[in-house]
Amino acid sequence: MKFFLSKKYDSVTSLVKACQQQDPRAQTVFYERYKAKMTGICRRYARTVAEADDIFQDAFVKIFNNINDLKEPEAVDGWVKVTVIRTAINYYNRTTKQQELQSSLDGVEWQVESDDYIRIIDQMNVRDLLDLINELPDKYRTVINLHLIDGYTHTEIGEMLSMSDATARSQFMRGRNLLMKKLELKGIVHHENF
Amino acid sequence: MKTSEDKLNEALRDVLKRKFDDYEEQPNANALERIRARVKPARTGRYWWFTGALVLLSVSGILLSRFVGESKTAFAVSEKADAHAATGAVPATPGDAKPAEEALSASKAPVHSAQSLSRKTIWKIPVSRSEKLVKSVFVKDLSGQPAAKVHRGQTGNTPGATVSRYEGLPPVNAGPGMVTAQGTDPFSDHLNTALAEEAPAQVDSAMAVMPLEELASMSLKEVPIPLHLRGVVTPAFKPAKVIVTNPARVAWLFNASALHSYQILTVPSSAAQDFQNFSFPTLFTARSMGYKISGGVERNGIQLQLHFSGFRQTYSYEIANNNYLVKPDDKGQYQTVRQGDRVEENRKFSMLGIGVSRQLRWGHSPVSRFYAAFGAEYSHDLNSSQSLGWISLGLGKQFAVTRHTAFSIGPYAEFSPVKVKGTENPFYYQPYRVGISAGLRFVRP
Repeated sequence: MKFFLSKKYDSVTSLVKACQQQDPRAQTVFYERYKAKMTGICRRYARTVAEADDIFQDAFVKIFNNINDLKEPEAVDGWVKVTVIRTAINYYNRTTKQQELQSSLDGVEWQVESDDYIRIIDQMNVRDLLDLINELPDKYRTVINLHLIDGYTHTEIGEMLSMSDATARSQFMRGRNLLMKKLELKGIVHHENF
Repeated sequence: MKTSEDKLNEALRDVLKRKFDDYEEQPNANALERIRARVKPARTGRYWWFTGALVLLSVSGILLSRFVGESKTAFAVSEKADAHAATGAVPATPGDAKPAEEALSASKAPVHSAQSLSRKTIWKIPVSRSEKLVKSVFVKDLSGQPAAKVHRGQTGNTPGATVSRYEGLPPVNAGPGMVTAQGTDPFSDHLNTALAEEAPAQVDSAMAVMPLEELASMSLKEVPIPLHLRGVVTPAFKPAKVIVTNPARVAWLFNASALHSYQILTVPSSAAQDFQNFSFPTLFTARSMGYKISGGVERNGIQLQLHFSGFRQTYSYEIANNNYLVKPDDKGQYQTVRQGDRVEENRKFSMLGIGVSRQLRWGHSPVSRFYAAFGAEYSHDLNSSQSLGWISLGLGKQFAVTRHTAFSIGPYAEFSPVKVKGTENPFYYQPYRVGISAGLRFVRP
């Protein structure tokens, strides 16, 4: 029995092909390879840990059910990540009501220099920063994640969220300003604690 | 030339990417089991083998039970059929066999003598033409179709048969090859053994003995994937079909409806003539079907549309004359019936109108929405130069066809609070229409 279980997957391509054959051992190896990284992505896009778990599981079900659609096995890393991100977007399209996002922060005057935000972020613990992002409204959080962390352009974001480029850009600006406001408050709180 | 905003965004991107690029967390410990439970099972050779065996067993079981059941029930059914044939062969009484024909002939004769009326008392109930037709068909079925023929046509599941098709078969638990509670037959043993062998292959503890060094040393590579490939192969998300309800933009509408017309007819008491025996179309008839085509624009849920619709108004009535008919009723009492000249009304409406309506949409699905629309319409009949006002109500669901287009379908009803006067009679006509409406909505996202 041990002889059969010790099958090796010497490349990602062979692993993907084994998963396409629905080999349970390959699926386990596949899951182990991506679970930590993808959970981190889900935590960024989700509002709570429980929702992140839901998204993570939905995404992996989708991945295993549709892995035969992956024509280029060497592109699996990006495919898995994109599938997780899109599952997160779908999750909030499906489960949450449209939020009122019109609370304008356009006229806010920033009391802290822009370099200070970078410094505040640098000094912050990742989990604190994650909590801050999680507090943002769903659409702002999604756009901030897509544009600032995952590197999507406004055009791509517009396509993904079914909105125009201009709307995507405007949502990003509002989300970013809200994030900066929260960072500012966080920075002041940190300062007072010292 | 980069603005200060761009510089700030870049700085933010740098620092956030630095923070989150290597960010990892462990998922829920039970996540893999839950995922496995939801993943579609693999179609292995063993699966097909078991499926084939199961189908073969089921088919052979059904054939066997039918064969045995037929051979046992055939005798009892034939006895039953003979009995019905004997009773069915008794000739019907003349009074039972003729009334349909008599009723039809009676409708053709306008005047009858008192004697002939008294002999046909049962069948002289004044009914409309369609009702008489139904009666005649019903009577003919009873007399001409003996029940025995029906019973002969049935084989195993005749309601009248008293013999069970399972009678004579061995008890279920005693059958060879059946899986019993004790599981002593070789087939169930083989099944259990096969399942026991399959179980370890799905145990996740396989990871503990699998060498993962080769994969663990391979880092995740996301950068080489071109942007245009992102999401192309992603399965479920299809932004091309997301429904767009952008209320601020002007949307173009096109609707088509199939509507059944009904009518409220008012006969004024001041009319100089006496009208009687009105006959209206049945609840559903092709003569009363009409259509409606609409096109227009929508913004902020307010719809302005042009409508073109066509429908018919059909009914008949009698203008009373001075001929009277004396005939008995069910209780044998004689009644005097005034005769009349029948007039058929078949009026066609071709309405051109304009309407305003308010549409409300709700729902959270990215590909569909429920809607309700209510509105008012003013329309003009191109044939008679008369006008009608309508109030309408529509319900239904909208589905995304593309990002720009939504298809809607649902029930639709409209009612005219305005009455129009008949062209060749003094009646007032008030229509209402019920049907189904389907439409397309085009809007830029």
